[in-house]
Amino acid sequence: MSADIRFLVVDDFSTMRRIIKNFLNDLGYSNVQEADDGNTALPILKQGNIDFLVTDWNMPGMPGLDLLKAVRADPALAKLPVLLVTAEAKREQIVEAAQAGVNGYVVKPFTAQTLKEKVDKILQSRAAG
Amino acid sequence: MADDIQSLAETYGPLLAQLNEAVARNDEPAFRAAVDAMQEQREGDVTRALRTLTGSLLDAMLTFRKEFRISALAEREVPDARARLNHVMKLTDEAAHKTMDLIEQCGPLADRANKTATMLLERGVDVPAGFRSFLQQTADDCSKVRANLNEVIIAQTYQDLTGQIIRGVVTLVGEVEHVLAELMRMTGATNATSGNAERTEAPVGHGFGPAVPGVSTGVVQGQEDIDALMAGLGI
Repeated sequence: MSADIRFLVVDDFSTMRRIIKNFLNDLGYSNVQEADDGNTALPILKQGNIDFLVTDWNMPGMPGLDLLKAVRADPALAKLPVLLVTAEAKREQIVEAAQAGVNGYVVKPFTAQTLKEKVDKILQSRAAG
Repeated sequence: MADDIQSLAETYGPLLAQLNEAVARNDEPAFRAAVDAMQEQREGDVTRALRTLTGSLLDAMLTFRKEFRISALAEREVPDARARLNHVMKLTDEAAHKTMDLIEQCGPLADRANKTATMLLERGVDVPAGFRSFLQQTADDCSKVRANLNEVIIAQTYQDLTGQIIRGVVTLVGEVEHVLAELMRMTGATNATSGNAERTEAPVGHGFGPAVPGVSTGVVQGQEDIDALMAGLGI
């Protein structure tokens, strides 16, 4: 696993972006960009400089699920690891996200351990793939 | 029901008789005239019913306009509620960032103490056992402090969670505001017409809660203002 992995954290709440960015820094990942919804995230992703997307679901503008679908629909981004970190906790939503191709799903509030496990797991699958 | 039938029989009976007579006489113009008369009678009934209904509605609207605090709600209290909720989101956002600022300052201090204690232990310098124990304890404690600080940062998630809930309520309040404004427009209620529209503020003794910018009035602008005010009062 490389510490050079480039993350994009998408959340409309600056508090949450900062929490996740801080957490990733603690894990040794210092290359973290931010966006506040899918509409601002997508152009960043399309530049091709992001290796891992962490996104909220419920955001004004383009929500996380639409962003996920847009990512999966773009051949250049289709394989990008996507972790949803969201307060949306309905079973049907989790199923929908899974069907849309999400790699991991963390429900807020979360512990550092949970977030670490999900990030690690996705990165391990990515390394194995 | 019997009364209704009786009333209908009284109203329509003569017309019915005219119809029957016209049929008996084979008198088409008379038959048509009787049908027209029945139709006119029927339309008159509907018009009277509509007039009664309109009157009731007008009465209801006048009562509503007079007694309900619609204009106070629509023009001030509901928008105020929205401003208050937005202010709560702002305060929690600021508090969460302030907390994280401090943690980001404290984390490296704990790291530094941990690193220094560990380095001294690893050097194996000849120090009393008590001091070695202290260094070990310091290193362990600093690791624990660092881990706890990380958890405090994660705990700031509350701001996002409460914020999302509040944002939902703000949207709902906005919709209520829109409906109230529409009701005001329909009933013609205004501040001038709604006599009971004045806000019933709690007495000072109950307290007003934290000041909300744009909502609270007569609020001091900080401790300096309070000190100046107190000094002005000779305290």
